[in-house]
Amino acid sequence: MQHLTESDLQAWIDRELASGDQPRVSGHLEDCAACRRELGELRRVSEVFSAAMHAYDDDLTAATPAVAAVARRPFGILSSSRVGRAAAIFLVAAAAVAAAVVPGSPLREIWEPEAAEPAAIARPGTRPVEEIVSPVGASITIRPREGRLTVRVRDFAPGTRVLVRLSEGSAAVASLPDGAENARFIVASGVLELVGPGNRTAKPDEGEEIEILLPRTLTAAVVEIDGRAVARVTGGKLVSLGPVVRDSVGEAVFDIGG
Amino acid sequence: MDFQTAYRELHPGLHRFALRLTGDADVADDIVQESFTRLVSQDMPLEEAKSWLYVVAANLVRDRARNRQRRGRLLEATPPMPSMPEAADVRVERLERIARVRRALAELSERDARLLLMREEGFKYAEIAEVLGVKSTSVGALVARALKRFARAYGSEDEVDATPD
Repeated sequence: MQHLTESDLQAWIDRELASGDQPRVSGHLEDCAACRRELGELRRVSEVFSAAMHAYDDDLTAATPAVAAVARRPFGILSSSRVGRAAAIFLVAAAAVAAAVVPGSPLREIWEPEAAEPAAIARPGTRPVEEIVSPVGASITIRPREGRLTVRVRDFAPGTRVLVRLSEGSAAVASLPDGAENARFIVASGVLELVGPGNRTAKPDEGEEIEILLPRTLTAAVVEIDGRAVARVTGGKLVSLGPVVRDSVGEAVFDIGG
Repeated sequence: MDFQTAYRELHPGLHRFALRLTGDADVADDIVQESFTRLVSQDMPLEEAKSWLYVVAANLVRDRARNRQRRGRLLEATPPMPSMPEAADVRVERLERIARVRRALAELSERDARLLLMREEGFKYAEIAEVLGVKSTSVGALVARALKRFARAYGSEDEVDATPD
């Protein structure tokens, strides 16, 4: 039996396999324990990297408090004290002039009073979760509620599957069917930190899969599908509450509309 | 997509990418600023700007390192001290964690570090391949090997830490 390649397995994890290859890979994984082990190892190192990066972000942000503030400003160098500041201010001033005099300049919008406060690193207290705009249509949202983390999945097409998995990382992450990642919540040292917009809408598409990673270290978390709690994390364990398609230690798959 | 929307959507990820590559918030600010400034002068649909911005930012990181001949020091760089009072042991532990990640990243080639950080930002294989100049069919294997290399370097420090005195 010819084993799957690293390329196949990584593409499987990253949902980058060509549709024609999926039956071959999934069929082989069902039969081959060695490839399942390798898949588990690749998932593990992937989580090691993600967790390291999120903790790294946390540490860099904590070590340099200006990061969050600067990141929220368009052309944040305005507040920088670095040597390049004068040149940057000149550039920004020149851009402002251009915005003022050039009809149709895209920069015009940047200088509007309510202009661009990009979604940035924020801590609870500096950005109340109520400010997160509720999405309309098919959506996935991660937010703290009543002392626990709630992941809400709503209005996706029947046939969509939701894979909930415990991770060793420090971030709660939801990946949408289109491969894009929803907001992360970093959970470390008792701090819940939102990175990203907090929610996202998606185009429903039948037969796709949403993946939700929940840190094993969460003290309380719940996953809701269309208003119904289907899983919760407590004491480092994942507990299924709703009808599952597949259920194993630390992992459960749910069907929407099932 | 207008420029403002592109800015709002792309700024956080690009800043995170630059910050992770440099480990220096001020340098990351400058690089993101410069990348968006260059974008303004490009005749390019903003929908296509994302990959372009990451290429520019990554090249700026590299150019800075080369120009100042301090790539090694950049990789070892520690961030400025926080302005808020903080217990010395907390600060030291944080700096040690940062240095640990930077040492593990330094075990990767420049290409592999970009590869993993772009993947972490949600880029598709085809986009990564285009930016890095590799075949899209090679990206999966490159990702797998780079992840293992990072995990080995990052994890080996645990083993060192666990060694009794």
